[in-house]
Amino acid sequence: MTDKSSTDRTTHFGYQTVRESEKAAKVAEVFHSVAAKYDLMNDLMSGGVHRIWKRFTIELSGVRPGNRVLDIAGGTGDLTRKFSSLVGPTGEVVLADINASMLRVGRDRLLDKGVAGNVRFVQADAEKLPFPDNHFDCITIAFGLRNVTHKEDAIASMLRVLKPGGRLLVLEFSKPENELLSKAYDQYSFTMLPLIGRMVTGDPESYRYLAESIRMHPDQETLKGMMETAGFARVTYHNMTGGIVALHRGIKP
Amino acid sequence: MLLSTALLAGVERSLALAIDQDPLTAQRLATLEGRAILLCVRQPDLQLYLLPGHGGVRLAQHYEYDVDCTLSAPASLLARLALSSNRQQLLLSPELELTGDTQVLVQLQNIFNDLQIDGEAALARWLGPVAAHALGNLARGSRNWLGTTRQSLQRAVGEYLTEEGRQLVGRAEADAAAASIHELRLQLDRLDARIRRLELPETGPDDA
Repeated sequence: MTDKSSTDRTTHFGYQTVRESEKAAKVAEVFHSVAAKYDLMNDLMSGGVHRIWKRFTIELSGVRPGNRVLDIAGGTGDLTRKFSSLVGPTGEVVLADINASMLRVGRDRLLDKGVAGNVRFVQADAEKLPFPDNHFDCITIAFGLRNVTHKEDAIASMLRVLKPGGRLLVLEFSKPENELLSKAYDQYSFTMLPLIGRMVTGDPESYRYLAESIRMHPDQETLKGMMETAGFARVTYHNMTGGIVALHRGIKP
Repeated sequence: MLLSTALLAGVERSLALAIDQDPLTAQRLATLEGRAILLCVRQPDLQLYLLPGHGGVRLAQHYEYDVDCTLSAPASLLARLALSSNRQQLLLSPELELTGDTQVLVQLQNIFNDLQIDGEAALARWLGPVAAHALGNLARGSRNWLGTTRQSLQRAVGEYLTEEGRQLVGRAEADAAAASIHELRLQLDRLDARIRRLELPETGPDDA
């Protein structure tokens, strides 16, 4: 991937345009910076509602004892913890994250809570998942897809490692359905988020990136189309909190 | 949707906290791992899946697999069913539909009936065993005192109203009056039957 064409191609990093080869490093910087206080910030920014979004994701995952689950961009392990109890000792959960700091925080936190035995930790790039074909019953990626440089490649990679009949769940910020809510949300995102970021982590830029990257992420219908193009069947999505967040689900045929 | 999800999360968390206080209940729930009960609530319409398993009962609004048992009833009846001590009677209500393997529901119900929350153990985790035992004794003493006081008050008020104030009749008098009324009702029924028989046109042996 060092040929000239790939280094010249550009992508977005929030509202900035950067070379594709630089995006991963820039995203990594953001998450290295916020890893230690990631959970606290999530609670502060969403008022705790992110727990309900994640709970709904788990409900729709249909994960059962004995299943093999991949939690991509699993960060501090919220979903992995719940999946670990659902799959039981006969199942397996893989917590994957491209960012070593986030993975370390997640691993330590899960071990501190006694979650072990059926959980593996893998530092992996969602675009090039290091797993065999047809390996997982369920894959989730919560608030991670918008940070991936080549989203189509990541979705194709997830399709490859899913078993036929397996489910992909993408929980991600999306486009509010109501214009008024959208304006209020914009105000909140570009004024309050960096302010909270400055007060709690001392890093307002990372949270400005968060707000910008949400605006650059595909809306509900576009992401649904991307999943269908990749080969997923029965793709549906559920808007939550007025469309601020959407949960897309597709089945590998 | 989010509100109901949040509500279910709260109820599930409270159940988990209660079950944490009784290890036997947690073990018994683990035997129901993989079983699913669907509650179809009417008025208001709501579907709720109860998924017992290791460590508690999951409450979900979505479940894609077959359920073992379905219980369908109005919300008011389900509330009474949850709180009443006379559940067998309520289960015979015509408004209630129960299909599938009812034993799963009965087992779950029995497990929760037997749930004994050890509050002293929970306190001991935070305060240590000595302080928890002292507080436990205080709580038990207070509960006993309240129970005894309530019974004593009921008896004293009853005696005052019947014996001193003569506002109410005593139980023995009330029972005797009720028995007399019952006997009188039976006599009236017999008299009524006899009058109706007398009013019938007389039929002789030739009519037969």
